[in-house]
Amino acid sequence: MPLRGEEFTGRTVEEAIERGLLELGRKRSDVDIEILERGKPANMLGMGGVDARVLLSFTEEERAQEPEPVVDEREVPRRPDAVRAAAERAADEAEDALPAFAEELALGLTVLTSLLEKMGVEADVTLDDRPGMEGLEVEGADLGALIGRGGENLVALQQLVSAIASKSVGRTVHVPVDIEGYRRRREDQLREIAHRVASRVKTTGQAVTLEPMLAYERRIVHLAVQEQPGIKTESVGIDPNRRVVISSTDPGARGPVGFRPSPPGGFRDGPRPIRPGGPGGFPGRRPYPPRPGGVRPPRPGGFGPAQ
Amino acid sequence: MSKESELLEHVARALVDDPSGVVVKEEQDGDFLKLHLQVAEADVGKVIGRGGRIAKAIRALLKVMATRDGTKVNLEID
Repeated sequence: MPLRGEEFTGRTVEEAIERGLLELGRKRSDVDIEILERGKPANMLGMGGVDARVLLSFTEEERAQEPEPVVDEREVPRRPDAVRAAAERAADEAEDALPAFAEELALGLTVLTSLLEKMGVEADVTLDDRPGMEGLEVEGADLGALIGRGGENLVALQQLVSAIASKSVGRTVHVPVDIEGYRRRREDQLREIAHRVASRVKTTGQAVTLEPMLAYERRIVHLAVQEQPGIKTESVGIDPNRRVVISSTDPGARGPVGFRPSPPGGFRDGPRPIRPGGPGGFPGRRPYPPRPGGVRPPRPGGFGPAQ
Repeated sequence: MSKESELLEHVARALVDDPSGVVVKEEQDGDFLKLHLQVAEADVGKVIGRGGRIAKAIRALLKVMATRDGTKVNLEID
């Protein structure tokens, strides 16, 4: 079996190894690691450091035996409509999720750091491995553009980091990324909104439609109130105008009001059906309910301007 | 090669099975930068992603870079 070796460098031995594995598309267990140079960290001014160098060697044959990563859905082109109908909710709620473990976070750190470096973004990336708080945190000046409107660029960054890390370890991993605490604040806010609206829905029975949100944001809302009895949530509309509707499961509950889904091209679902006396509702519609006090007394002076 | 091309190449190589099949070409037209990405046929799905997610994410990051420099960028996957 032909043996091949390639040399990689990084600021630390670990970084050099990760970089090599990434480049080769191999797992740590598939290669033989030889440390050529331990490297020295740079001084405060970023000068005088020595890069770590490692030699990764592997047998060429292993490539063929390497188990093909489970055919990932993302490689299979599907009709957008079919995907929508079937997998929307799942996608809302599961966003490729598999919790990131310490090793994957460390890999994500390397991936994210080099991504930001290539982008020319000056920022510090730190790793949080406290249980329940796992993720990467980016801090620096002027990161507003990197967060993007409504956090869309942050989501893109996280998707790429997760995709690259997944590729590198050979299975799907999810690496949570935050920039300047944006996501944490936004998630707290979303949960707060979800709870507040849910309790209002519960008391009034009136369903409420929230503002349009990104998939991961909708997921937070669904999860925040899924435990609450008497409350259900669903997503309606088309991205980027997809919204969560929080409604009551009470039989007499009313649907959302004040929500006009207006995708270009008009209504997608057609007009809202009139319930012909739904469960618990009144039997049919009457144009004018009888006044509790009987007939309306005539207005003095009649209608029209005062005389 | 522009910073944008370098990022694109870096990301694409990290996502595909065959990094040697990754080719990035760029056309600069004033403030407008057009990038063409080629990957091995079997890897096309990997750089596009389910429902175009990955391609969309790459474009988003390229746009962040371009906006900062006051230019425009366009990515085509061939």
